[in-house]
Amino acid sequence: MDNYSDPRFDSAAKAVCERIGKYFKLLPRDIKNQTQELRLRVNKPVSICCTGGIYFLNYSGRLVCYPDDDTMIANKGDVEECFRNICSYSIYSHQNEIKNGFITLSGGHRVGISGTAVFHNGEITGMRDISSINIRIAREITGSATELFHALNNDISGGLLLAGAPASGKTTILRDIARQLSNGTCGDMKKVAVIDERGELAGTYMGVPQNDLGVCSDVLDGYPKAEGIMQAIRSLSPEFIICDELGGSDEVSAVKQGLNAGVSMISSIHAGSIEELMMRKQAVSLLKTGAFGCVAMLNGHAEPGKITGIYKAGDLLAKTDRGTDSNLCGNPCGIYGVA
Amino acid sequence: MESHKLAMRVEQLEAFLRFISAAQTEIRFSALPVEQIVQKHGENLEFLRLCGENCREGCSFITAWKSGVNAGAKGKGFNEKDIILLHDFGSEFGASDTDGQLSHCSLYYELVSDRLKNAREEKTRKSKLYQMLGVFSGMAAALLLC
Repeated sequence: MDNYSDPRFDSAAKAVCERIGKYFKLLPRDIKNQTQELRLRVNKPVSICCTGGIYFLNYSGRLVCYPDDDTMIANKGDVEECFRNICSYSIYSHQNEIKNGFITLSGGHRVGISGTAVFHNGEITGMRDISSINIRIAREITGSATELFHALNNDISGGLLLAGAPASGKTTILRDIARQLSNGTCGDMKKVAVIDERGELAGTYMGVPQNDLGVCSDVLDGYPKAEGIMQAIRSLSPEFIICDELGGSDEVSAVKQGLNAGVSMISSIHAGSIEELMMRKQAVSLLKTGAFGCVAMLNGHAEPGKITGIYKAGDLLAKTDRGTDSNLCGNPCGIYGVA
Repeated sequence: MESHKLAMRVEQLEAFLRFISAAQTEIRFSALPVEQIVQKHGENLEFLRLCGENCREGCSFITAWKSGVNAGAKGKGFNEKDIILLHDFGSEFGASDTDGQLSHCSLYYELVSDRLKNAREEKTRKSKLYQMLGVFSGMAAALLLC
């Protein structure tokens, strides 16, 4: 491998229009490795978000901390070309995703789009005049869940909820949990059903998962989580169900059904801190189902994948019921401490 | 030779019409991306086959379509105006939502149908003329030789 190639970055950067994409291609590998997001905004500097902060691309192909006269500006044409590229030049086949504001690329990279909402009968039916594009690079880090397994003595059959801020590595860890469980890295091989509503976990492209989720994983690609959970229970007899970003009320009831069927649930949820998590109604509802024995809190985008604490769901709920949210069980890092 | 060209044009336009019809069905019922529609239904037309190959090699659809038409439509029966129509079809193919694409396909179905009708009429009219010309030339040559 040369000093310029990073397969993950390069596959995500393919979606960028040719004029700007050629500069991304020439970035050094260590920068590509750290990159989390590529961002294009109409008439604004092209930027990339790394673990160290936000940088701007200039016409010399270098990254600078502050935009200057030499900084590359994305024009409307660039953003439009990029958008069509992301849709594989088939906008009609991504209508639902566009309506929801994101499109998943081959490889599991998620592209967030913003523009002007198009309404029909009071409902958002699409988006026009795309004004910005955010390409989030999906990383497949083998072993990123190992620490977590060790901290939990390789037993997550009681269910696990990963909580963290955006870009804290929740999806990367979920992917590795699926791989390790189904490959039997931490014990016996388990039957794992992955409900991949947004195509981020498996990155399925034309029916083939682009990410390694192990030998005993079944992927329900594009299924809404609640329906996917029910479908998996009905037809796949999984031991574990893994899905990303739970929260809706229908999902909570699907989780309950899963629990009744004896399936262990592993999922993620957005929350910047444990206090924030317990202030969210849907998080409390999820924990109250009893499907999640533990909650693992991730650090944040500065240290993706770093676990700051693991907590027992029962203790968190008890504290919430008592109305106290400080000093959980006397240990700021939870019952298990820092993993 | 000229008569053969006219027959080829009719065949090519018929094949393209069938492609548009298949594309409409795919867009309506399976939302298949344009790249896959071309690969699945474009085997009978050289320019679509080339476009599909270019896509497989990693070209963007627009580039693949343009180079497919430039390399595979000329000399295969399509005339200059047909080629412009093919370029126009490709530039907007896939560039809107389902309703937009169905309208786009319907519009081009009509435009190609008109061209096909003209091509058929031209073929009937001119191929007879070319055949007669051939017969008379042959007779003239025979008389001269005698």
